[in-house]
Amino acid sequence: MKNTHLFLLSLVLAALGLGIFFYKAFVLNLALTPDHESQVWLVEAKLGFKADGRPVKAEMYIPQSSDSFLVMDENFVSRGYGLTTKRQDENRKAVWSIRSEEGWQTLYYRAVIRKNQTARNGKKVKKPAVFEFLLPEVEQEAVGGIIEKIKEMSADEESFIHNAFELLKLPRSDKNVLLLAGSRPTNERRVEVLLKILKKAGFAARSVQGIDLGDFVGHADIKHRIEVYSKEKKKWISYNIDTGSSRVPSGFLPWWFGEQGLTEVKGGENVIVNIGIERSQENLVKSALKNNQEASSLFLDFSLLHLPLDIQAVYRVLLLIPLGALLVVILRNVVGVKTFGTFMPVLIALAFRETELLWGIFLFTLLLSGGLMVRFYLEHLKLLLVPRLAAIVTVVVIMMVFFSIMTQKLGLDRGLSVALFPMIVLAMTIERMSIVWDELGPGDAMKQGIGTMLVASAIFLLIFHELFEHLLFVFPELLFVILAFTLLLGRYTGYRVVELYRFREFVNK
Amino acid sequence: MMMGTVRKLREKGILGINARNAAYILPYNNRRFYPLVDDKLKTKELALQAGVAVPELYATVEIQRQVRDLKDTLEPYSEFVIKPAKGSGGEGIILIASKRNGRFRKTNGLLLEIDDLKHHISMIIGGVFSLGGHPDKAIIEYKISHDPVFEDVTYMGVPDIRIITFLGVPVMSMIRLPSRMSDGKANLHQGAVGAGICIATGTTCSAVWHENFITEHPDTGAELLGLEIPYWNELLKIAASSYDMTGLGYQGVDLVLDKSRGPLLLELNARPGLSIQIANNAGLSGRLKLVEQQEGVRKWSVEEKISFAREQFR
Repeated sequence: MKNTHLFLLSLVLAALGLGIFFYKAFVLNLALTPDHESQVWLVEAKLGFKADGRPVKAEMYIPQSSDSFLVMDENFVSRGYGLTTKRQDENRKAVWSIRSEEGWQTLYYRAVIRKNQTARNGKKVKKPAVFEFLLPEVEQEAVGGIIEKIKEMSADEESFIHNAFELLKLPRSDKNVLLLAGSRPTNERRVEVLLKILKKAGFAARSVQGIDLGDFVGHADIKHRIEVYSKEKKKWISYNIDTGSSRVPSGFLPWWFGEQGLTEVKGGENVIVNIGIERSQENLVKSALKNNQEASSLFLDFSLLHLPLDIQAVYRVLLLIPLGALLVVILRNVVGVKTFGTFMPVLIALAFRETELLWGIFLFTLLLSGGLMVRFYLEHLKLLLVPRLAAIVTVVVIMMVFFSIMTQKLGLDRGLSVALFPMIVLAMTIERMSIVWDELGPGDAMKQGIGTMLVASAIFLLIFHELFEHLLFVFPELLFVILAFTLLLGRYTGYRVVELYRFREFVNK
Repeated sequence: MMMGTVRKLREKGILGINARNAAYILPYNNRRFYPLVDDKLKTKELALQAGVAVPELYATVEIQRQVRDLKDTLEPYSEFVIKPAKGSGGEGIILIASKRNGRFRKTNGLLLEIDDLKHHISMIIGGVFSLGGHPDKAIIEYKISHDPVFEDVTYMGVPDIRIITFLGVPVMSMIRLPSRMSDGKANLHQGAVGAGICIATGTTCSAVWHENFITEHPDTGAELLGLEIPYWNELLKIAASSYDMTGLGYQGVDLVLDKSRGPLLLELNARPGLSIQIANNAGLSGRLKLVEQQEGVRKWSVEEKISFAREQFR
C-alpha cells in the first residue's frame, strides 16, 4: 500500500521531470551539452553625422538572422528620433527620422549576435529570378567578349566562376577586362564588373557586405563578397573577391546585400559609420536558450536564465547538490560506505572545487590530522565539550594561516588555496571524527574518514562535472527525476554491498 | 557472484540494515519513545514501575552543585559504578571495587581520590560522554558481579545477554563475552565473543569472534557451545515485558546475570545491531515475519509470548 503510493509518486515526478526535459530538449531545441564553440558577440553600429536644420531621414542597413548567425536583442538608441525598421528586397533597414535637428547627431544600433547552432545544414533555397538588364553598348560588347573567353576555358558552372575571378585578378591580361575595370580596380569596381559578367552569363549573383566577427578588436571593416546561386547545391555560395575562394570565414556576418552603401542620410552631412564588435561575456547558456527564436514558451519565460548573472552562478552549484546527495544515498544505503554525517562529503566536494582534487585531499588530510592531534592533546586537559570545540577551531585557523604563509614563503602559491577550505566543514569534520573515535575506536574513525574522502572524491569527479552543471542549470526540472530516484531509494530494503561481505560466513557454509 | 551471494543470504533469511530500518524500525519504533531508552535513568524508572529488576540506583548527580556533596553521597557504598545516563559505547564508566581510607580502588586496581571522581562527574554533567555533547546526568548505581557460570568464558568484565524482541516476542538472543581484545568490553565490534543462545532451550548453540565461527573462547580456551544460561525463563520474561514498558516494537534488551540478585535489566536499545544473526548462524527475517503474521500478538500476555517463542525458535 505504502509502496504503491511511493511508486506512483515517483512515477509522476519522473514523468513530469522527463516530460518537461524532453519538451525543452527536443521541441524547444535547447542544447544538451555545454558548447564551447558557442560564441556571442555584441555588435554596435554608430552612425554619426552633422544635421543642418532640415528634416532628417537616416537609413541604415541592419543585419538579419541567417543560417550561420542569429541576431537577437536588438536595440536602437536615438533620442528624439522616430524609428521604423523595414524590409527592402533581401535586406533589413532601420529608418530614423526627425522633423528638424541641428548639430552633431549620433544614432546607435546594437545587437547580440550568436552562432546559429540549430540551423539545418544544406537548407535549400529556391532559385531566384534572374532579370535581363541592359548595359551601355560598349560595355555590352566587352562583357560578351569576356564571357566568350571564359566559356572556352571552362567546363562547368564552377570553373566558369573560378575563371571569372582569376581573370579579374589581372585586369591587364585582357583588353575587355581592362576596359571595364581599369588597370587598378577598387574592390567595389571589381565587384561591379564581376556581377555584370556573371549576371550576363545567366547566373543569379549578388554582392554581399558584412563584417568578420573573428577580428573582434574594436573597429570592424566592411568586407565585400560575391554570392552566386548554385543550381546544383540549390543555395547561395559565397566567394572571396580577392581569391575567388568559396570558403567563408566562420566569423563572417552578412550585413546587407547589394553594392550600395551602408547608410543613406538626408538632411545631414559628414556621415561616419563605425561598427564595433565585442565578444560578449553573456552567459553561454542564455544564448542556447535564445537559439530558437520563436520559442517564447512559458518554460523559457520562467527560467533561471533570467536571473542576474551572479545569482545564476550560485544556482549552478546549488543545483548540483541534490545530485551529489543522491550519490551519497547510493553509496551509503546501497553500497554501505561509512561517512561522517550525511552530507559532509558533499560539502567537502564543494571545497574541492576550489582547491582541485589531489591538492584538496592532501590539504584536507593534513588539516584534519593536525586538528585531531590537537583535539587529543586537549582531551588530556579534560576540557568540557564546547570550549574544546572552540579551541579546535582556533587551532585549525592558526594552522591554516601558518600553512598559507609558509607555502607563500616557499613560493608554492597553491598553498594559498588552503584558505578556500570552509572552516565550518573542517571543524565539523574534526568534531565528527573525534566523536566516532571516542565511541567506536580509531579503526572506525579511520574507516569513516577514508569513506568520507572517497565519497567526496566520487562526487567531485562524477557530479561536479561540466555536463551535469549544464544539464541541471538549463533543465532544472531534472530535479524532479532526482527526487523520484531519491524517494525510491528511500524504500530500498535490499542488502548493502558491504553486508554481502559482512555475512559471508553464511554463504561459505 | 554478487547475485549469487544475495540469493543465498535471502534464502537464509538474513536481515540487512536497510530492511531492518524500513520494515521494522520505522514502522514499529515511534521516535517519540526513543528518549525512554536513550536515557538510562528513564529506562530504570520504567523497569521499576513494571516490576523488572535493575541494578539498584544509589544516587544521581544532575547539577554541579551536587558534586560538592559527593563524599557524603558515596558514604554508604564501598562498591559502585559511576556512568553517564546518556552515554554510549561504554564510555565514561568507572567501576569502583572497594573503598579504603577515603580512597577508591577501581576494578583494575588503580586508586582514585575523591577529587578524581568529582572531576569525572563534572565531565559527565558537561556532556563529554553523551551523544552530541548534550548536558547529561551521572548515575551512581550497584556494581554487578557476574554469575560464576560465566567464569571460564569471560576475560575480565561482565558478559551481557542481548535479546531481540519483536512486539514483545523474543526472537533471537546471544551472550556477549568480553575477551582480552575487547578490553573487558562486551562489544562484538571491539573483539568480544558473541555466542548465540537458542531461545527454546537457553543454551549456547554457536559462537563467533570477529565474524568467524569458533567453538572455544580465544583467551580461556573454554568450550563455548552447550553452555546453559541460568534463569533463562526469567530473562525471557524481562525481555518480553519490555515492549509494554517502552512501546518500541523492535528492540534489543540488554540483561546481566548478577551473582546475588539474578537477572537484571541493564539497558534497552531502539536500533539493535545485526551481528546477532552471525552469532546465531541464523537469519532474523523469517522469525520476524512469523511474529508479524500472528494475530493479536500485541495483546498476548508475557507468558503466551514466551511459550510461542520457545516453541518456534529452536
